[in-house]
Order: sequence, then C-alpha cells, then structure tokens
Amino acid sequence: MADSTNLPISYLWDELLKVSIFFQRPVIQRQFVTVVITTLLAWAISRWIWFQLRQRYPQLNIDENCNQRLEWKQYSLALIHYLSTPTVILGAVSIVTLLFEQGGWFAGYLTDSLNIIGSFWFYRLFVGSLFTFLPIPFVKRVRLLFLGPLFCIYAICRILSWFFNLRELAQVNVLNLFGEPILLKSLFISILGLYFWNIGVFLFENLLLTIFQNQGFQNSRIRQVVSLLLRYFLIGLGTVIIFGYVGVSPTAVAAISGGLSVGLGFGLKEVISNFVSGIWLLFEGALKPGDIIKINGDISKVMRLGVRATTVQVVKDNSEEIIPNQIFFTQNVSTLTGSNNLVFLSLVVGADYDCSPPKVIEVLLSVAHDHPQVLETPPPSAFALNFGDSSIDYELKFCIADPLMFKVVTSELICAVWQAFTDHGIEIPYPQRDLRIRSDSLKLSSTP
Amino acid sequence: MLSVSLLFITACSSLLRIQPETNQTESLQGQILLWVELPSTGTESQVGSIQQVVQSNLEDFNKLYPHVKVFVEKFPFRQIQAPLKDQIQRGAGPDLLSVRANPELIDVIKSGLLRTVDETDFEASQFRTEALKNIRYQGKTYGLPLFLTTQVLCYNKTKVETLPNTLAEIIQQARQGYSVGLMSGFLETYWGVGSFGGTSVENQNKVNVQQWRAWSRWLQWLKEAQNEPNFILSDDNAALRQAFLNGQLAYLGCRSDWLPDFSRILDKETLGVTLLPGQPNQPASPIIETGIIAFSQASSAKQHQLALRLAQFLTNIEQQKRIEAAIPFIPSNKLVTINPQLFPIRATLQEQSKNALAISLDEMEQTEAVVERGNSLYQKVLAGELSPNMAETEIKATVRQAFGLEE
Repeated sequence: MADSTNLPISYLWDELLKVSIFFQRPVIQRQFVTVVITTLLAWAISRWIWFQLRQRYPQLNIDENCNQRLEWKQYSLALIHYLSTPTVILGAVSIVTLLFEQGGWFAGYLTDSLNIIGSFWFYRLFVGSLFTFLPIPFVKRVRLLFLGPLFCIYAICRILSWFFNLRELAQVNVLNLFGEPILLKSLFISILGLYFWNIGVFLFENLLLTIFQNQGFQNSRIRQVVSLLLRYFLIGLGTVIIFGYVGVSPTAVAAISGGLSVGLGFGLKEVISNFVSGIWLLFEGALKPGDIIKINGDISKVMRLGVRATTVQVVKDNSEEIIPNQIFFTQNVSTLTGSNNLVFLSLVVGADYDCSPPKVIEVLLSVAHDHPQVLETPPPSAFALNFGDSSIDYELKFCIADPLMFKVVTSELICAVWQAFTDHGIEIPYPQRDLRIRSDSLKLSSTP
Repeated sequence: MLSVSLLFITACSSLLRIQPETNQTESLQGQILLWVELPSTGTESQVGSIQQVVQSNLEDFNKLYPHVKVFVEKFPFRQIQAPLKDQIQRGAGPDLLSVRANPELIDVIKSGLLRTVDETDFEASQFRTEALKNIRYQGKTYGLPLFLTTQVLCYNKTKVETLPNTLAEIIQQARQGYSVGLMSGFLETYWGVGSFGGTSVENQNKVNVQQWRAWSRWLQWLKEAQNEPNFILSDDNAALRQAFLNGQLAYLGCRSDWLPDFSRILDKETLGVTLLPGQPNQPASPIIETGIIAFSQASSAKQHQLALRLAQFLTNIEQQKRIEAAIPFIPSNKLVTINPQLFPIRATLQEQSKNALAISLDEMEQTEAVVERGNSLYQKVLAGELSPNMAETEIKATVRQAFGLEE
C-alpha cells in the first residue's frame, strides 16, 4: 500500500543500533540475564517436581494419544501439569522483581516480563480448560498449529514493543515490486494472516464434520462435499481479503497472471484438469468414500475424495493408491456399490445321479439360509443346471451386503455344502469313465 | 531470543569499533541517544529548523569525535515526560535529553531517574544565574542549561511607525487603530507585574506583599484595557499567531520560541521585535524559561561520559552562537555576545531577558499551585466576578499556604 510515511530499510538498521545502545547498559543486561536465569531455573524446578510426582504417583500419567475426554480427576491433573511451570516461573520472577525494586535497581523490564509470563499463565489455563470438552489429540493439534503460534506472536510483539515503535516499524518499505512498495506490515499480515486463516479454516472444517457426525448426518458424500467446498471457498475468500487489505495492486496481479497464464496453461494443465474433475465428481456423486470399485483390474475401496486426487485402498494387498481425478473421466470404472451395496455370488457343485435333485436343492438352500452373511432378501436360490458326465450340476445363488467379504463367504459356503452333503449322504462324484474293450482287437492280438 | 540477538549485535558492534587512537578526543567512541523536546508551537517549519540546528550541531560534534554516533529522537512540547519515565524505569530511553525545566521534570528527578552532575565537570560560572536556577534541585545539579526563552513584543514593521515604550503608549496606539494582541492567562500576562512595582517571587519567610499588590494593579489595568478597541486579550495562542502572520495584528506579545517560525514566514522588513511595554523606570518582567540538558540514570559510565561531552559541546560559546544564529533563542552561556547592529532581534531578546523572572526548580512545585489558583482568579477578575483587590487577598493566601510563609 503506498503510504507517504514509508520508511527506508535503513531505518531497521538504525533502530537496531539504537537498541544496541540499551544493551550496552549494565542496568538492562542485569535485568535480562536475571529473567533468563530465573526462568530457566524455575522451569527446571517445576519439571523436577512434576517428574517426582509422576514417579511416586503413576496414575498421574495420562495417555496423551487417548481420543477420549478426560475424567474430572484427570482433568485436574492435566490442569496442574499445564499450570505448574508458568506458576513457578511467575512466582520466581515476582520475587526477583520485588528484590530489584527493594534494592532500588531498575526493574522495568522485569515488570514487563511478569506481564508476559502472566499472559502465558492464562494461555496455559485456557489450553488446559479445552481438555474438559475436547479430545486430547484435537487440543494438542489446536495448540500446536493455532494457539501456540498465536501466543508466540503476541509475546514477540510485546517484547518488540519494548524497544521499537511498532507503528513505525510496520511502515518500513522492505522492497519494491512492480513499482509498488511492500511494507513490513503487509509482509507480516500476508504471511501470518494466510497461515492463521488456513489453520482456522482447517479447524473449522474439523469442527463442522464433528457436528455433522454428532447430529447423525450419515451421508458422507454430502459431508465431504460441504466441507471440501467450504474449505476452498473460505481459503479463497481469506486470500482475497488479506491481499486486498495489505493493498496488493490489482494491476500487478493482472500483469503477473497475464504473463504467467500461458505458462500456467501448459504447466498446470493436469492439475487444473484434475481439480475440475474433482469438483465434478463431488457434485455428481458418482463416487463416495467407502465405495468398492474395480479399477486397473483391482478391487479397491474409496478412502478419500480430494479435489485433485482420490485415494483408494487396494483390497488384494492393502496398499493405498492415489488416483488423479481425471482418470475417472477417461477410463471405465466399475463400482460394486453404485446404487446399492449388494453383491450377487454363485456356487456351482455337482451331486451324484443317485440323489434326488429336489433333495439336493433343499440342502443347498438350507446351507445358504444358515449362513449369517447371506442375505434373506433377496432370498438365495438353487438350480439344477445340467446333466454332467459324472454328476448333475447345481448352482446356488445368494446375495451378500459387503462386497469385500465375497471370498470369505464363498469359502465358508463351500465348506458348509460339503458338510451338509456328507451328512445327507450325497456324494460329490469324481468324473466317471466307462471303458469298453472292443472284441476284434483281442482277436487280432491272439492270431499267430 | 531477541535479547540474545541484541546482545550479539552489541558485542559485534564493540568488536567492529575502530581501535582507540592516541588522541583522547578521537579515542571517545560509542553510541548515545539524545531526546529533544520540540518548542511549544511545534509547527512543521519550526520542527524543520530545530532539526537542522541539531543536525548541524551533531555534525560539528562528529568532526571532533568521529567515532561517536548520536541518535536523535524528537518529541512534541510537553509530551516527553511520560515516555521518559516509562523508558528510564526500564533502563532504556535516552542518555541525555534536551527538555524544558518544568514541574513534570521534578517528578522525574524525584523518581531518581535523572543523574546528578558534578559542577566541577563543567564551568558553571559561564552560565547565567537564571539558567543555573533551573538545573539545581535541592542542592543537586541535574544537567546543563542549554537555552532560555522569554516573552517579547513582536510588531509588524509595515504597520507601526513609533514603537510604544510604556503601557499607556500601547493603549494610545490601540485607540489610534493599531491592533494589539496579548496572550491571556496568569503566567502569560505575568510580565506586566514588573511595570507596577513587582520585584520578584517569594523570598525570605514572608509573602511578598509588594509583588501581589503590583499584580492586583496589573489586573486592574488589563481589565480596563480589554475594553479598548483594537486590544485583544485571547487564550487562543494559535489564532493570535495566525492573525499576526496574516498582518491583522500590529503588535503581538509573543514567546521567543515563536520567532523561528515568524522569521521564516515574514521577511526582515516586516518582522520587528521590541521590549514589552512597561512604566517609566519599571520595565516589564516576563517569566524566563530554561531549556536544559539532563542525563539519564540508566546510562553506562561510558555512555554518560559521551553524553556529558556532548552537553559541554552544545553549551560552549561557539555552539551557543550557532544555535542562537539559527533559531533566536537566548543563549544560556553569558559569555556569548551579540552585536545589536547586526542582530537586532537577538539583542532585544537578550535585553528583555535581563529583567525576566526565573522560577527555580526548587520553587516550581509550590509555584504550580499558585499558578493554578492565579489562573482561576485572573479569569474571574477579567470577567468582572471578582475585584482585583479580592484576587490579591486570595492569591496571597494561596502563596502563604503553598510556600508555608508567614503573613
């Protein structure tokens, strides 16, 4: 953003030199060394105390990967654990500050440090309180990606404000891009703004999915479509707002995009094609997570639908395959779970000619009915297929709900049929051959 | 992390310094921070001229001490005390500061944030007595006097034919159509007290009756004068200044620190400066203020040494002349002589300051209560709500209470 009060980059160096004046003063060196040593000592003491407590009371150990909410006792322990370090540090630095003030020494930065440590205490209290209603891994993720960085930036800004005029610092012109000055403020807001916006959108998406699940919204395709589109919409919106706020010139954007459009057209053709295919797939609903499909000759389970690619799990070796979305538009893909999940299977078996076909059919049907994974609707059926060389061939047709279980169910049914035939005295004959020896050939052999 | 980085930079800057030379002047090295309080008007042009003067002074200083880097930060008038306290309490802030001696400065002194100076470190005898009053507090010295400011009568040469020497003459001229503008307020108008026989502020252990009798008579004069045509008594200083610059006022009672601005805008043929009108043998006695250079308690011994050297440099005769030539302040160094033929405005300022009244740092806190009460009484008298005699009685009571004096 063009501003008449823009400051040159040399301002930064001058300010640093100015601050170096302060650090040549013993009164400041004394304060900072005291804060650092006191904090480290207090931190070490609090860790030692907590370690001793855990040794003595093993029940204090909390499984941090547990995806359950904490009981109130565990919550209290977690809170104590979270607050013990900042409390000890706060106490130690308070005592040191008091001693400095009593001794008539300069203690302004010690007081400032107390404010930041106090803020840290409240930050830890807030994070600790999240454990009461959110799962531990989620809180840890929120802390690592969002709250932690946010607090760090707050603390850094507070510390910088002790030495620099942040309003002026924000106006430093870092570089000129296409004739437009890029200020430190713009750089700061762009980088951090985009980071926190994206993380915020990610957490919001997670929250939304959790709410959907809790509300019993079972249609995973709709969930995925809503969350995915919302994510990309919010990211796009945030990017536009942030760049608009920092004053990225539309002319510069037009120049950049115009110049790069040809290159982008060639270089990112596949990416854009996949992106459009992904959006299309989501809207069309041809695929959804959990679908069983046959692609490249393998049966696979759809794990995740992305805007660029779809992740499937290959059933035969349990590997995951990332398939670009445009593949689904250029190749034939069979789905076993398109309009429903039912899979029709059949089993062919031969029975002795001596056995009555109706009896064999009855046995086969009873075997199918007895299997828990064979669906009653549509009902299993059995047919006599043909008179074979050694046996009459029968076919048992049945239906299962889980396509991935077809091998298991088929195997179990074969075993059950064998057992049932044995029980009912039905023989599964071997192929039979009648040998006829011609008399003229005997005669020839006996003639001298 | 930041602290560690800065300690690293500090260490590096120490290592990169040029090796000390044999000459003591050149062996001084390091960086110091100077805070400058801008004058009361603080217009852009005035800030510019102050900046030029400071820059020029520092360039001269750098010629003598090439390895000393002085950083300068400027603050608007009366807006330096809060950040000063805030910063020095941390151990940060300036190594030396150019600031007006005022009650707020006493607050900083009492907090133990300013460093005392040994008068053997500089030649105190070279400074004016009024200036020295404003660097000493309760027997200790807290800086070096840099400049003095007071009030004078500015006039428009193109409008005025004969300069008024007395109050009666200026009223006469107002009646003749020459517009006169005076700043209103207790301290702003205090300059007239001397013309009615006032001598000085409180001394010994008794209320100075003569002084406050003179103030009462001066109030009576002002009360009558404000009804004269072309006589304007206003507390809107900015409007008065602008009216004078626009040529709407023939006379303006002005502060000496307004003159740089006036000199820049009005040419030599227009701007004239003369003594404030008094009575025969009873000259006007404006308040004189002192700009001082004070030192931070937080500085290291080496930084203080550099700061003291800079202060001594700025108050030497040569630099005082240079400051005074660029912006018409009254030099604190009494050895600075001014040729009235060459520099009539500066000579007038010098002359006016001889009858001026200085309020010492020791008296400043008590005086503050008197000024507050005086302002209230002043407004009431001019509004006709209180007689000058009653105002005299009340101000004497206030003075007695503030200074703990006898009847």
